[in-house]
Amino acid sequence: MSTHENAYQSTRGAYLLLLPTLAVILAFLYYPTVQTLRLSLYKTFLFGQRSSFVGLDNFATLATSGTYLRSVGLTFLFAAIVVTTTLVVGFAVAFLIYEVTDGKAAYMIAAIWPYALPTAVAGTVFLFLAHPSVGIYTHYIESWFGIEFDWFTSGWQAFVVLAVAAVWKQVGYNVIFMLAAMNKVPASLNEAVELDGVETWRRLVRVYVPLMSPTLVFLVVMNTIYAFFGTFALIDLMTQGGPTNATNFMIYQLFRDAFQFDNLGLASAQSIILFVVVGGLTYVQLRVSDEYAHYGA
Amino acid sequence: MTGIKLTNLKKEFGDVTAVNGVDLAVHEGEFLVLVGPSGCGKSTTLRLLAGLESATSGTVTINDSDVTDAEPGERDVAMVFQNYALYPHMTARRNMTFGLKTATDFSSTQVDERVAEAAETLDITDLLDRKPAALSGGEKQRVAIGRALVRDPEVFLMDEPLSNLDAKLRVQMRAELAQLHAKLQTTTLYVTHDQVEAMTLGDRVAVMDDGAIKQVAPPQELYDRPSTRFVAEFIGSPGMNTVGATLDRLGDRLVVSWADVGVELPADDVPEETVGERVVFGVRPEDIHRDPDGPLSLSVTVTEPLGDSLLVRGTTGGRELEVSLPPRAGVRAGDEISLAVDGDRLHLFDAETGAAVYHSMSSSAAQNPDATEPPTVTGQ
Amino acid sequence: MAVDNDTDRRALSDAAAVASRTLTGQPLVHLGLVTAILLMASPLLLAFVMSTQTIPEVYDITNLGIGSDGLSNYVEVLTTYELLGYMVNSLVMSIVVTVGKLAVSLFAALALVYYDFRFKNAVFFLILFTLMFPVPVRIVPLYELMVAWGWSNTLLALTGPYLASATAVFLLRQHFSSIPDSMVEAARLDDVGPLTFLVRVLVPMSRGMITGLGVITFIYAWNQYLWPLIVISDQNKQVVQVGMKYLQSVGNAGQTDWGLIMAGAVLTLLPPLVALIAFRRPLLETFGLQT
Repeated sequence: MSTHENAYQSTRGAYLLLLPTLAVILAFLYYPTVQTLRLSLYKTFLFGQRSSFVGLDNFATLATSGTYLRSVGLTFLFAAIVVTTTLVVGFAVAFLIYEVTDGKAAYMIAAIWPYALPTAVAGTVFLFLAHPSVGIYTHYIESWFGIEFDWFTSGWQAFVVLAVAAVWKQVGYNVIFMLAAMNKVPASLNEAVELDGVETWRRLVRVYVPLMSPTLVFLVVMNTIYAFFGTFALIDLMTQGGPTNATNFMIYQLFRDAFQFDNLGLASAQSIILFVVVGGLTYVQLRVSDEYAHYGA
Repeated sequence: MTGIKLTNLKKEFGDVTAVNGVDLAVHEGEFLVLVGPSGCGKSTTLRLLAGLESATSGTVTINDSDVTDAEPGERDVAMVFQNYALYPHMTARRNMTFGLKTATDFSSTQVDERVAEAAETLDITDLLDRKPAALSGGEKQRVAIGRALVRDPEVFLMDEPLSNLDAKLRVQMRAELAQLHAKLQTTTLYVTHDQVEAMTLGDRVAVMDDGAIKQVAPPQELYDRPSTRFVAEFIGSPGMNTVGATLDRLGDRLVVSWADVGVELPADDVPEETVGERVVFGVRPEDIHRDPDGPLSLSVTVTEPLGDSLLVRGTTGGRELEVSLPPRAGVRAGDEISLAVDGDRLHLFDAETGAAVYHSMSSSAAQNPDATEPPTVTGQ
Repeated sequence: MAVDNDTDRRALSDAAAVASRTLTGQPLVHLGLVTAILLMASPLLLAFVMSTQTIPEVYDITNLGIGSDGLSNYVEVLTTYELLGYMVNSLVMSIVVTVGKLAVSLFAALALVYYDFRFKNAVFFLILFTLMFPVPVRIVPLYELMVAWGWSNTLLALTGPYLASATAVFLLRQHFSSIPDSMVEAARLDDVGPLTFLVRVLVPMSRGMITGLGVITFIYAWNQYLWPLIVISDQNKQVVQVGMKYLQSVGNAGQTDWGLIMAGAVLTLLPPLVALIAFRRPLLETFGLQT
């Protein structure tokens, strides 16, 4: 019976209840976002005491800055690697848990725990375990592969170590959602395919992936957001953007410009670019998925 | 006056008018049943009375005070819902006492007493410490009734409370409700779509259709003298047969006829203007009997043995008719049987408006004590 | 064999599915899972082992045995290096954010589901739209705002921006909508007000979701790094995640006391990990995973 009116009619009461939420989002979400747009058009000095309008100069500076462009490219590469690796690893683990008949509950906890892992802890632990002079991983990598492993000086190695740490932390989250999606695949479909003798690999690709596609799209979006925004602690604790800007991803550059170089206008411009980039990526991902995703059984 | 009074009550939802000018008076201590098909507006009327909906226009009066704009909690009204509306995380006892602090000013000893008393009346004393999930449908409904009971309100409202119960339980609960009312004598408005419930429970029954009340009367009156064709077809199980026909005077006899069938009426008080006109002829299945000399010849299509009677359906003169015969009448599909009607159980309705124009029943009871206007005469 | 009805048929095919899974190599599945899990847990296990070692033992890289410092690193990091203080700060912040966010969102959901008022849809959309504004987009002006209000370096600044959540409001609203209307109608007839109804009926009926949201929020708040880094300048008011950074310089004679740092890392991980394991059912259910 949804035609009838709602329980309470007091408009004042309603707005009173909504006041905290509205106050917080207006003050801490809408206002700062609008301010970012404004700030990006200014150059600030003396920590915001003085500012002058410079129009789109900040954006022009960024567009022509080799450092920034390199940062953008690195961030994209990093995101691509982290997103795909996390998805693949997460899917594999989730599928194994899905298929196992005994001990499912125990395996689930054991696979999900990284969801609780703080990024700062992940960074600290990896900083030590892969430390060029004292890390145990370093030792085995060097002795098994015979290469010199020193990511304090080698840019691409630092990049890889960061990626590994980032994937490690994010896998748990992916496993949770993938398992939930797998469990929703109707048993009857599963059986029909099994009884037809289709082997596991094709079953995965032809049945599960399409049926899980809304969740997979969701995870691609969330992993992308994580790769661009959520990995800050890793960078700050492990590489500080180095060596020589090899891991100077966009979020880190932004942080430095805002809080180390006191260049709030430039940082705000970067905020906007970040927002547009991630928003655009999300949009593209959603559109692409519309073509391939199946939203019903 | 005390009791409940609804005056010209209207409720619109956008461009849908659910309740269209309802006038109804429920006397103090009366058990009045509001009955009608799905979507007729009976539940909405009940909810308007409760204050769960606000009226588009019209007034609601409870015990001489105008409560039209009052909050539900201010009306001293308790309601029993179709789906029980029990709080799943509270025990039965807690469900019953939850609203008491805000709705009444009983002391806690009084509360405990009332709960114990109600529980005993409803035979749920052993269930008081269980949660709803551990109760059967019937038990839940009794707790819901108990919740209303302990409130000791001015008015009980019941919104199809027995509809979710299985058939046997429904019959049992009906009897229990009747006993309860006999004991408590609280003014009650009861809504149902089941006309059997209406007839068995109501001191008076109000039949509703399409947002308006068609007739309010005690059950027997409704049955014997339905004021509209709709009421006639709705009340009774199965309802009254209605046949489109013409009324003619042949000599000093009044005859209702269709196709090649003619039925004579006791020529009492038929309004003159209907003679020679089209009418709707009504006669109940149980008022037709086998008679080799009878005017009706029925080609039987279906028979339904009910145990205590045999329901026979067929056609006569091209129209469908249902007849209720004794259980072992031995009639089968395909038979041709000859029927006659009870002369003082015949009805005529206006072909256009459906209003009753004639009941051949000779004894006419005095005018019924009723709503502010006399709606027994014509329904809308 | 003849299968008579749907239930029988389903039971049979369930059994067939289980049988076929068992036949296609459960041992392999177990092997795969154990390997994956060991791989994922190894950094942590190693960290724990190392946390018991002294500096010389740590610098003896291949020494993977339990060290002779035992748990003394834990005591040391908590006391001498103030980790306990940081953890208390984190705890206060996380609890304030969790309780605050839940309360605020419960009120909002109550208003959105049980009240009629103008602009209701606009307000709901206004709230939902904030999902588009991630932290980095707002961080610079947000910091400025804190400075302007004199809130920088305070608990207010640390918790304020987290107190509203579109996700929480959305989920709670959905849950409330699924509760039958007759519940609130029964309450109204008893003259029970909206706040009493919220606390006595809605909250108990939403226990699973509220617990799930609470755990998720706690873990999220405890793990925050960037915002506390920016807004708190006094080391003794800082949260434990940033405390990790302070620990990096601990050591003597040019050798970092990694054992101690690992102890700190393990301690920092413990509260959210314990919360996750203890409340995994409500948490997983909030994410839609039936356990």
